[in-house]
Amino acid sequence: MALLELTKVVKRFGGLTAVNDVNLAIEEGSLCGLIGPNGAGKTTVFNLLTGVYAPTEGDIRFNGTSIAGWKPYRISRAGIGRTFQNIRLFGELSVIDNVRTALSVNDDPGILHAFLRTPKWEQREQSTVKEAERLLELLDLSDVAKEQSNSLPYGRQRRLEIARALATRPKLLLLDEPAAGMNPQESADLMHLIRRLRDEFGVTILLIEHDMNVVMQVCEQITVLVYGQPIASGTPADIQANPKVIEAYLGTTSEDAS
Amino acid sequence: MTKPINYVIALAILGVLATLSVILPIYMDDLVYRVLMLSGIAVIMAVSLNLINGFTGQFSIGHAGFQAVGAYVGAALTVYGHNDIFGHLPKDGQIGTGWMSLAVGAGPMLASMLAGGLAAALIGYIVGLPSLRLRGDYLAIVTLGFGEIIRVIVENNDSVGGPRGFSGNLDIGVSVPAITNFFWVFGVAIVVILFARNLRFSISGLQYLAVREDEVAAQAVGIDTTRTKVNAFVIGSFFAGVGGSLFAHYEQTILISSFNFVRSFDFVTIVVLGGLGSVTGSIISALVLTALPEILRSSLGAQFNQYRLVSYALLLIVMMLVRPQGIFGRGELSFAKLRNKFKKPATQ
Repeated sequence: MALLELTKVVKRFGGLTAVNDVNLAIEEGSLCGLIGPNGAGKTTVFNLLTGVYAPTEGDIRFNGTSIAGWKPYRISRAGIGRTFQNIRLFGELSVIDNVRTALSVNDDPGILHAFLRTPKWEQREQSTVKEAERLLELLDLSDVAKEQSNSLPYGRQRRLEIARALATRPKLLLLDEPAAGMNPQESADLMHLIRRLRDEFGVTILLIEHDMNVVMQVCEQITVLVYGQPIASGTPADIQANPKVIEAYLGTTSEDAS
Repeated sequence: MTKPINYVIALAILGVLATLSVILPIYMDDLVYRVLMLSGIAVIMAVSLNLINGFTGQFSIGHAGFQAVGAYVGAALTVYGHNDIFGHLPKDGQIGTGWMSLAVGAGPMLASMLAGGLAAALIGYIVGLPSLRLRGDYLAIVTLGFGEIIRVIVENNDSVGGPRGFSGNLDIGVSVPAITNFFWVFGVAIVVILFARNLRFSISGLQYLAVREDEVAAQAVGIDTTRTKVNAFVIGSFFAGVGGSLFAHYEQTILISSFNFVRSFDFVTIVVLGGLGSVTGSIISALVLTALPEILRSSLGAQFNQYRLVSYALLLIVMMLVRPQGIFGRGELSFAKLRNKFKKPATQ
């Protein structure tokens, strides 16, 4: 059984069908990519998976249970973490507090404990600091732990979003254009990191990316979405050779000629 | 509060508060004492509003409405519960000062604060749940309307005096007792401040701040944003209700017109001026904005009153131009920070 399964998922906004009849299965431990031209519905798929939207039709099963129509926080607690295309950090909180916030959801002893500063509270408080420091180190952000998060440069803000998403202890991590705005060196580091997350931490990863370099090098499975519909699915080599994909991205020669 | 030393400190604070509560009314000028008490209540109101507007980033402009609920419920309890429960209080409500008055007033005060607080919290839950499910300014509109509803209910309810105000019940001959004293006002203020401060610097509090910063992202990391907002609102309302009960038993006569929109806006001004999200900012701003009009009134005469709102508006405008984040912004004034500030030049 696949970790994530989309069956005939449709999402309509009024008369516009943003996602049409999508079937998708993601195996546990895989590293998948979702690509397609602008406006193909990739982010909408992410928003369906994370509960920002409920699907109009069809079913989404995660780990065997249907999560279609669940609230975002429930889906997050069930084990799907995400980053955002337009960075959404808790801007005025420090870098480490961004990560601690995500950790706190599981470890929150409750406000009564916080008010009375009980031993339980103190122990949780310290454990989240340790855990957060570990995650920041993994994402190479330890040196800016105390800084306000919206003062970081763009590339590091993206890394912090990943750290925060990891802090929710996801089984499946959705990355929405993780390499956007990164220079070649940064995106090379990122690719290395994404592979590490999968290999060392066993996190299943699904990413949206426009940087084909990144997608082709890092993903093992790629699905191509065009006008809300998947037109191809396969290994990077298959996708690159697929005439339908080439047509979607570049147009057909015959049409241009006529 | 788990280490033995903390219990000792807590007991010492209680002792100091009780002693001051006995001494101050005797030696302090009446007007100064009055300003002190009103400032203390303002601190309770401001810090509790900060939990909603500052920490969680919502915008409630009906805090005085919740204070009214606490005031009327609390006062109704001590008046109508007199014969059955609080018979040991004198019917005219004057328990005087001194150590005995502390003991005599403690039970009814606690019961009244709890009743007022719980009533306000319950209404906060009913008002908050539907409006906080939505994002945006709905809470402001709903709390504004709520204040009016409370006014109409009270004005048409003769058992709490209607538009004439509530100071007791002539039929049973019981007045609202004067059980509020320095001990309770500042004891509660300390509890509210500690609560806010401990929340601010804990992982539980981070969730409230996260909701303020970005609700979508907060949901994405697993925070139930509706519940968090409702929690903050209910807790804030609870303390507003407690503040209301303290106010009622201090003034002994409460008029619904003193809990109107303008009063709510005073609290918003205090919180914004101190810095949304800053506990110390709210405290200092509450003290200053309560004491300042009184000082100006006594120095400039009664005509100052008509300029009070003008001066508040001016103050806010200047604030927005010069320091839009409030006096303290989101930061806190702490002894540790001050220490560091003085230490640094020495070490460098």
